[in-house]
Amino acid sequence: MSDDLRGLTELDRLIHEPARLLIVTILSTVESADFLFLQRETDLTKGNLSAHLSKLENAGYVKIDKTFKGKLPLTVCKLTESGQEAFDGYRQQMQNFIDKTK
Amino acid sequence: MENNNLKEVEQRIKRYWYSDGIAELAVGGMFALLGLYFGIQGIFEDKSPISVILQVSLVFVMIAGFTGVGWLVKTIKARLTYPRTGYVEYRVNDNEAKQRRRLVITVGIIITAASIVLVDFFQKVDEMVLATGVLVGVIFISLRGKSSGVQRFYVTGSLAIVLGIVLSFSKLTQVYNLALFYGVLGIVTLIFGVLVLIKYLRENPMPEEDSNE
Repeated sequence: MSDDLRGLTELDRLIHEPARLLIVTILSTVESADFLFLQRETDLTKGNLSAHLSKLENAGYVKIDKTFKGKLPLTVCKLTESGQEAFDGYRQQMQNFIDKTK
Repeated sequence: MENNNLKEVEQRIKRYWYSDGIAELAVGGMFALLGLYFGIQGIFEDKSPISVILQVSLVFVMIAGFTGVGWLVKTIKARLTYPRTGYVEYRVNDNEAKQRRRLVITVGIIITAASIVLVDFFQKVDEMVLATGVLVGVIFISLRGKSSGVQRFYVTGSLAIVLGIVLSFSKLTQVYNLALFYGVLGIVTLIFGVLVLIKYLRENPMPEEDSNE
């Protein structure tokens, strides 16, 4: 087995999970987005989205700012530099895998 | 989650900006006001004091218009859109900005070169409204429609080009041509904006207050 294929076992599993991959993909295309937007785009429940965001935040991939706009809570999420690097690395690994298995 | 490749996600998020029609209402309103501006200018004689003031103030009207539109769109979105479907801050893409500048400059050079080469043709037409039509059309089609995938921008862009070409052959004076161009385009853009906003408000009622994030 080539190194490229073997590298698949070293994929960042935190990003590889489909729901988190979608969250990171969305955040990689914007400066920041709030909880409501992410929830609508991912179709996840509030609880699920919260759990996935917490995992990404704990890994240092996402920065979460909780503020208030008037009386309404506003949770703004932003992909960190290390989150962007991890996502770029993940995409590269997947691309290598796809290229080798064509 | 299938077919969620990066380009599609990017396009979908760009489309989100136009999903409520507010940007079109603002741009349409500005076009309609420009139409009114040129219409008023056409009423007065070329060298009357009011006409001169209007001509000089065009730059300020344009700057105030663009600044005002940006502020207005953000303010209305903060009250109407973000509480309903969420807030997004878009990333400034340097490559896209460069491409935009290049495209506008290229179209400008082509129009200028054509006006030099095709002198006879350009003496018969109103080159200002023709250039405006092509430029506005290209901006709508290429920069708005193509990058976001919003189909109605192709209609607005095509209309701008057709209007520019048709009006360039009219016997009206240049200010009336521009008044008609911006007036018609503004009204059509406003109609699109109203229809999109109505659809958006119907599909996205204001959610109940909930702090469970």
